[in-house]
Amino acid sequence: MIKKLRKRHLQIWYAFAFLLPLCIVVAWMAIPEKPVDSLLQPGRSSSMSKLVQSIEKENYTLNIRCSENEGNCQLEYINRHPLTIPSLLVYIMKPGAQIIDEHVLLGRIESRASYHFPLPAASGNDATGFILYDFIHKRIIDTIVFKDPSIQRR
Amino acid sequence: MSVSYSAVGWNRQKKIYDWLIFAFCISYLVIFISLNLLFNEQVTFETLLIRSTSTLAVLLLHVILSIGPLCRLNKKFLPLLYNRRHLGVTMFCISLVHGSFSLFQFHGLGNVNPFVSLFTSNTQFNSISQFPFQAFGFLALIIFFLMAITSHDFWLHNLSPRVWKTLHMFVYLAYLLVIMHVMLGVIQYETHPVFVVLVAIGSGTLIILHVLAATKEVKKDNEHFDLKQNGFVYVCDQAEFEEGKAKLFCIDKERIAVYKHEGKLYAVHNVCKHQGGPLGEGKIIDGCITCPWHGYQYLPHNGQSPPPFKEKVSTYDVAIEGTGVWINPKPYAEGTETGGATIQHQSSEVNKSLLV
Repeated sequence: MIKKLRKRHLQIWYAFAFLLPLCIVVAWMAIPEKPVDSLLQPGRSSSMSKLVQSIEKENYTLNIRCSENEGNCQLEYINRHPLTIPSLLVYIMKPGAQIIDEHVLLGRIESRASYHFPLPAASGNDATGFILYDFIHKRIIDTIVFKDPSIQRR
Repeated sequence: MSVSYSAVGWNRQKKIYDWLIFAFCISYLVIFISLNLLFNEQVTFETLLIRSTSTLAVLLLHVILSIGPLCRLNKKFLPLLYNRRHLGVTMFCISLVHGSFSLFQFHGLGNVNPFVSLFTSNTQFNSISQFPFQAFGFLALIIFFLMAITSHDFWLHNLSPRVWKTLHMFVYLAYLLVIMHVMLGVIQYETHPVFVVLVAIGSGTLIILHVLAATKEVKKDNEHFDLKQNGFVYVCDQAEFEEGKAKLFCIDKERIAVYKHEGKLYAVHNVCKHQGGPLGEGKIIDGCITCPWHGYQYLPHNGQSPPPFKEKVSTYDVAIEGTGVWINPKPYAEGTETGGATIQHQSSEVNKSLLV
């Protein structure tokens, strides 16, 4: 290695000695607080016993299920064919919402498996449907509106 | 040592080196995939492939970047330097798998061209956690691609060593891009701090190694030789030389390697014509100065490669007065014959009339 190159290497690594830790620390501090896992990626859970409503699409089935006493309900998402996009977010449609962030985030779907998302108590009879949103490409994949706009639960 | 193109000049060392790389990569991928499947049965094949190749590529990149300074600090690491380019090409291939699958997974199967989608799907440049990190990875991959396709000596000669080396110095920019790609990408989605710690350890290790090696070299470069006479500079005593080995002296602008061979001292330019290896850290094999990096050879008395090879390095005048060794730092043209300086055994006669 010639002297000029040795000097260049030294300059680069002196710069890296400052830049790399700075970049790592800044990126680490910017890591957002994440929702609890069970919201975005619910752990394995079983279907509740009572099927309230069901919508079948080409690639998936959406069911609203409730417990026997209808005290708790869940949204059941069953994959019939693998998604062609890596992952989706599921939102409860909120009347009057203009942008996607104003709807109520329910959880996240990967390309395989079935999912059960507990429906929050606040959704109640206001929920008219659900939105499937591709957050990578920033586009709505599907909007599912149940025929009976009220979800039967107390 | 030929400018005509031949794919790879295989020899036993290269085969062993490459088999070791292959075995390591396969073992790593198998272990990574197995552990992931053990702890997360829901993981998809695409995710496994993307993550296993990405972590392997980053690991290889750290190994590659550490070889240079390790060799400066301890010569026992020199065998790793011998075929470092094979490691580099392997790392590029693995990165290419990672990049291709990621591009397909996240930007394919849509209406937009995947390469356009890569740069336009996320434009949140004002957010650190949502920053379009994938572009960093893509740019790093382009740099690795250019380095991989020009890694052969054919390109070293045809691009000229200066252009070739400038291109390959972009590995440092690529490394910075990779770190940003990781920190603004997967690290933003993983809650466990172990990933940040691993990145910090990797970067920190490289910084320490490079700075230590560079500091050691700077000390050598800053050695002063104050005793001068008639254009010659006193460097050391003749007793300090070992047969077949050299001592290095940095006089004026560059390093000069002085070898002891068959009772004489010869001085040549320290920089190998191949890839700038330190000739002074090699040894004489079969009567030729042999570069420790890739084995390029030069005759000590004229700095020429033995026929049929054509590389040449500059030579210098050496003189011995008493037992003191003197060097004229003004180089002769590359390949110029010099008589060397005979090592004095008894008398203190001037070996070469440096006083003239």
